[in-house]
Amino acid sequence: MIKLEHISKSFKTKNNSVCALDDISLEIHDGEIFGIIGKSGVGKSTLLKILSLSMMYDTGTYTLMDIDVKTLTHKDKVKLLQNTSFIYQNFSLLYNLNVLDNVSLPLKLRGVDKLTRHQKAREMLAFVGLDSKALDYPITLSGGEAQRISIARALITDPKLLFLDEPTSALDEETAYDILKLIRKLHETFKPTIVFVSHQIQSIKYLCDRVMMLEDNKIKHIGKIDKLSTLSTTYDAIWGDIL
Amino acid sequence: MIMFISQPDQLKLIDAALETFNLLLVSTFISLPIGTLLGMMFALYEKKVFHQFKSLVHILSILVSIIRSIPFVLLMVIIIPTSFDLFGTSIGFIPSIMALSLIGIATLARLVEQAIIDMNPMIFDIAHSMGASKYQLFKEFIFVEARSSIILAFTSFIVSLLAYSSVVYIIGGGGLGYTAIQIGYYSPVGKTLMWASTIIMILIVQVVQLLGNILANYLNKKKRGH
Repeated sequence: MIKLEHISKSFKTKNNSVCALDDISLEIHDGEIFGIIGKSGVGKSTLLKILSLSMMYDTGTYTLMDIDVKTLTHKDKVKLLQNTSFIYQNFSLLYNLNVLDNVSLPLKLRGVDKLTRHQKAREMLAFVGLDSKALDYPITLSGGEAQRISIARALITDPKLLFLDEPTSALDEETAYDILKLIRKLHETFKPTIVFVSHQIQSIKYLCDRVMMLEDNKIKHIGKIDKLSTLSTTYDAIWGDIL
Repeated sequence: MIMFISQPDQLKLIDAALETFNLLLVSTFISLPIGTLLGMMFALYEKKVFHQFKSLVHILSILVSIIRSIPFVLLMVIIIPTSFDLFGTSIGFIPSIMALSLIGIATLARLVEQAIIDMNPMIFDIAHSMGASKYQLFKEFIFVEARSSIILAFTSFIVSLLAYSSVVYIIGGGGLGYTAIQIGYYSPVGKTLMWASTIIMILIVQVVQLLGNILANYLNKKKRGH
């Protein structure tokens, strides 16, 4: 699904160049949940932007769904992005659209007629347990509900690849756990490949098959993780659980 | 109030109000689409959505800033030779419309630019992640999320144009400003006309602002209670 070979990225400032990612190589297989963990500023967001085609890298090769992304035209990129979905930390709903229109928006962009897209949106809302909120506006929703709606919207296009950018960071512990359970359920039901970025070790351990830890903009560790083993809370302790 | 105004003065007021309405209508018709497009362009360059013709956009942005910096009375005078060269007239309706349209474009461009820049910056990421085209970014994201701010920008723009229209009488544009100052203030018997013209302008501003607020409020679903 995803293959990165020696990817590097730096940002130019007025006087010098700041390295954001240094020699990243990894492979994410079809249907797996792959975690990316690390402290703030280690390059998690940059890596996710590169993976989701919203930022170009400087050197290396990125192959997404068997296509070298450097060869993509803008049109190809848009087409490829239609196989992916993104769930953000801050829910990212459009506040002037009601829940039904928010969820069905990706289908509207693909030219699907109103009846069909609303029908599919209601199915997705039922999946996330919020079909009763279809006509509400996002301002009336709680944080957990808004994130469920974001998940419903992400699923409506049957994506092959899902990017999750700290989806539980803005939520309290109990709500975060509900969202993690929902992500597990959606993975069991729709079997997408998931790239899950988080700084929360518990969430990574709960969801991911494999995990990569970034430190100083490089890969520190990469490997399998024993799901739901001891609930360690320090970055070092987690590596005791890597198989 | 109307009973204190003689019938000939009432006719003068109606004529003046129609002139102001005409000035507003034509200059709005010209500056609304151009100012909106420029404002969107400036904002989308700032948000790095567009990259082409960077120098042209930069020049246009400087021009807008220059036009906004020139006092409107001077702008009207500066326009006179251009109006004469282009249309063969240096006073009256045409140079007035030219001056009002120019200041209208510059004012609205900055108001629309600000309305779009103030939007939730995530909107651009969301649109990109859904594979939205540039046209869809405008139609389904920017116009949806910034619509009430854009309506308020239009409202402020019309109110500003009305204020500017009150001085175009200097280059023969007529309107309520002419009636209030030249006929009203400078006439020993015409103070009533000055007050009547002022009240009409206040009423127009109140109606425009009220309608703008109602529409913007109706379109804004970011407040609880909708």
